[in-house]
Amino acid sequence: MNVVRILRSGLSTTIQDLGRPHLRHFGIVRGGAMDQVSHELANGLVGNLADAATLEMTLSGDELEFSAESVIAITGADLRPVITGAHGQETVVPQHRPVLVRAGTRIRFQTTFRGCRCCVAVAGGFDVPMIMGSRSTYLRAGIGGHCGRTLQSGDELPLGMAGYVPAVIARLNDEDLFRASFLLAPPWFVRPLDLPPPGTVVLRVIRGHHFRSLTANSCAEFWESRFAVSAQSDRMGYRLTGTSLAMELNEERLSEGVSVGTLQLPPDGNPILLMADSAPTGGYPRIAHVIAADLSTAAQIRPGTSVQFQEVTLSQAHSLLRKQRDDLSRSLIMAELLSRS
Amino acid sequence: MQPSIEPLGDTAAIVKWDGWTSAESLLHVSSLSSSLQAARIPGFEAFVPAFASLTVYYDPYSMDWALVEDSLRKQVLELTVTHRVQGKLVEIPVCYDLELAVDLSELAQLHGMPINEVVRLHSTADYVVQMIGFAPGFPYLSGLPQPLETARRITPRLRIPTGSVAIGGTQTGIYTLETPGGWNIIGRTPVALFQPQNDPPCLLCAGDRIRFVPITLNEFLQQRGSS
Repeated sequence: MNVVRILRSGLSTTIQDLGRPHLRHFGIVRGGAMDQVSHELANGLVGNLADAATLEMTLSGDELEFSAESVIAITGADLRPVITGAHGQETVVPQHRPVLVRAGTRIRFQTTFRGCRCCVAVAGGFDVPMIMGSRSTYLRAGIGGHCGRTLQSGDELPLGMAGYVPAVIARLNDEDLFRASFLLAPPWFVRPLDLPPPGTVVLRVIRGHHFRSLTANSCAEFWESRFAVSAQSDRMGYRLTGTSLAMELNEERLSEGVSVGTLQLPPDGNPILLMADSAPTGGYPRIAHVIAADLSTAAQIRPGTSVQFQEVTLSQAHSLLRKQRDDLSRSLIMAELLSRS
Repeated sequence: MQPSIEPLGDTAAIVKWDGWTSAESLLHVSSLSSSLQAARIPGFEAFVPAFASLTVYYDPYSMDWALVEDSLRKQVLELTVTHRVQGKLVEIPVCYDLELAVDLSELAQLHGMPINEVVRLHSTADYVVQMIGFAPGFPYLSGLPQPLETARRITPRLRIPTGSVAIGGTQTGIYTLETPGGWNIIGRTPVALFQPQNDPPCLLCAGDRIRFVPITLNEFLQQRGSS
């Protein structure tokens, strides 16, 4: 069986797919890739379906070894993955395109140069057991992915059978393979997710039900302030600090449904942005919701970065999401056409 | 009187029965949830019942807001509300031994009643699962006898063992995973409420009826060993 071996583990790497969106009524998190755009792009580039499992590396990556010749694609954060040659020379593995690596290749992912989460897809997908309809690692419940946890040195991840080989790879002949020292990749690449720029990241939001219950001061501050994403931020949520917001009335509220992207306001006044592994219900006031089209950008925000919120309407939010999905499809069609040319 | 329907971000809608009694709203929430499940409207992903609301998650790529609102409004208008909850009756064995029930004696003292009276009250009441939340399969139960209502602990515990039966305010619940938590622990069940390899993965659903059956520490150990 073909495997990917973890020679040295990164800070927090998990296996993710599209999660478990249909089980929220059981209190089960949606989960899945934080940056779904990069996840789907990487899968598309290697000929996988969107729901194949990929690796999600956070801030600093792992060193991987491929037991067999494999087609891979790396998207999302730039962890400057390198292959070290026999004489110590380093080759950077290019992102946002299919890459053929030979059996025995080792790729070392470094600490991020830009972005927060890097996605690695391999043709055939990571074939860990399906649990509750998904291969996603659900850390809090200790299930899914590889043994329900973040990857550790020595782990071996089984690969599924590749469905079809991207045309650009299929057209390579033995001679090309022989010439290639470690990897083969086309010169072109597809348009990736725009990583958040250095400085302040603008996230677009829709007002939440309890926005109107903020004090007049806090309403103004919500739009004007720059919030810092604190170090206590993970797949469950981001704690935002810097400006403390207040409600007119701090009453007990019944728990209600929340969503990935919801901005909750706990009594300490520091908003929490709920991310992929947040519980589907919550009792804190919902002051706003980051739109679905900006969640992949949010997934790429590193702790310490500042964010500012900008209001859009619900129909604008939906148009932006459709545009994002259409752009993604177009990128993958373009990749297919380039492969054949 | 009709419930309100409003957006929850750009991927969900929340249907709310504000100002209704909990018994009334539970019937409406669970009826709407069942009818939506049966209707299989393409684009609706999940329905999450809560105390007085139902959150409906949709795929904004296949449905715009007008369609979401119309579909929900139509279901609400055509809704037949049952007169009692339709959920299954589940008996849950609970060991109230002080070895496991770490807050039981303090709670009994607080309410000025003997421990066995707390156990009798807790295990003779009929409960209804109001919602599942907080953790996979964690049931929020209504029906706690008023004399047992107890405020949450000021400092939550960092680790509450799986199966712990606890009281938080006017509700009682069962911890389905080892998690931090602030409720008062008065017993433990050997029954696994969350089994990810099963389909469905959780034993209880909103609307189910629960009764607690006291068991001894020995029975607890035996049943846990066999489950």
